[in-house]
Amino acid sequence: MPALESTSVTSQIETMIRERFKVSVDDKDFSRDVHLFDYGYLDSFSAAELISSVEGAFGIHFTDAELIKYPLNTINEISAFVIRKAGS
Amino acid sequence: MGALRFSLNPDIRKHVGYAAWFCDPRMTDVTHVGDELVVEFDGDDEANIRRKMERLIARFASLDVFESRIMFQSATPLMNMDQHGDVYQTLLARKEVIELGRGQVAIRGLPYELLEFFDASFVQAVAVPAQARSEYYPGVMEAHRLDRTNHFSSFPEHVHFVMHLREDLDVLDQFSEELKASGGWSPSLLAKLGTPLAPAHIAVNPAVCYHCYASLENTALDTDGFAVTARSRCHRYESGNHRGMVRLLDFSMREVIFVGAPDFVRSARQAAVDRIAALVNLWGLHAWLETANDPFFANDFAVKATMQRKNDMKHELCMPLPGGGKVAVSSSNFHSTTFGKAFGISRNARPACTGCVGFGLERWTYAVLCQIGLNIDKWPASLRSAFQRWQERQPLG
Repeated sequence: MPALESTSVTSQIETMIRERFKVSVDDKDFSRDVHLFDYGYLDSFSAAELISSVEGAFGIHFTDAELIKYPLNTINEISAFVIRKAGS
Repeated sequence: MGALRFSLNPDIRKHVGYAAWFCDPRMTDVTHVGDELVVEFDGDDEANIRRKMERLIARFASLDVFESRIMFQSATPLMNMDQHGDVYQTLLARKEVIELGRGQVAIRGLPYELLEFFDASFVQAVAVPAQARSEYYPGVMEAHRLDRTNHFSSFPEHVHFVMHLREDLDVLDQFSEELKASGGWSPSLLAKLGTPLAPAHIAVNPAVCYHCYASLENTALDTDGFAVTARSRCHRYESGNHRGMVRLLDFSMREVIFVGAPDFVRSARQAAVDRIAALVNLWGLHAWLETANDPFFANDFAVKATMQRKNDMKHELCMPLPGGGKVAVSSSNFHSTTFGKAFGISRNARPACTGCVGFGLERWTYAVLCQIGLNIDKWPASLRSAFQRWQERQPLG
């Protein structure tokens, strides 16, 4: 798999979350570092949807152990994981 | 009759053992023998039952890497519960608990009073400081509304629908006549009448808080948030897992529910948990709070359960049971915007967050009695005096 470019991955994940979970463009709380669960952007159901979408978009698979091990609470954390995974 | 044995690690075995009862209607027993889970079934369709069991095992395989974090441990050490004998058998012998069917009990006397005392205490210690308003909810819920909570897709095995005979004079008369001719009710009676039941539109309550969210449908909040408390009958079908007062089909749940901004809900939930912990310590009980997940009965169990655990969305207050087991007597939940989205509850043009703490009153009663026994004189002094003060205020005795 070709190396993924960090800003592009982060941007794609942000767009995915904004579109799929209807985050308003003028939502001032939403950022790439906001805790998506603590601040109500994701729950266990939407997280399952998001992971499935990220897997499809980047051609990777999150194992159960990886879901537990890596912090995946913010857009930047998810993006870092995708880049690490794609590069491995 | 056949049997299959599966060698599994303890956590996976516990979950698969619970779920195995829902695998196939021919299941007759599920037991733990050493490291093995043994399932017994009628008939000789071993291949089909093995296939279903292996699906279940794959679904729960991630439990191998789950770890529960202890968030709180009460100051009271674990006592020797054997000194109190078999509390449940004693309650049955004293006819203070009467089994009326699978997972159904009548409760009177000491355990009934203790249950009511606990409920009053939770209201006083948790709901009142949260300035919760008290509400009343029905014991059933419209199926289309329950569907919006994701309950059907998450816990299909627990659903119990309420059915009625069709509004059709022929059906009603046939039912009465067949009942007389058969000498009374039997489960096969309905089958003799073709399709006498109307489509299911109602299910019994699986939880209290769903009604709160449904009652707030399309509400825009103009404050940071608020708390509500309610007690209701709840009902979950758990097949062969129903057991004593620990796993009832029909039980009483007190909930304190929080609706509002994320910070409001998370801090209100934490304050409620702190108050529960203080009560446990005040009463001299052994209990601990640990991270947990809902038992999603779905193929994406691993992802949902992992996300709940990692993000502290569910905690359970556990108490020990005689024989080395444990029971979750309370749970504390942060739902994020699941229900805000489902019912259009909003705040500042965003879906509102919700959370709740729940108290399974029969479980609380039983687990505490297992710890402290049935002799009130030997109870921890603070619990005994609080209980006796409450008793003195009861008009019916």
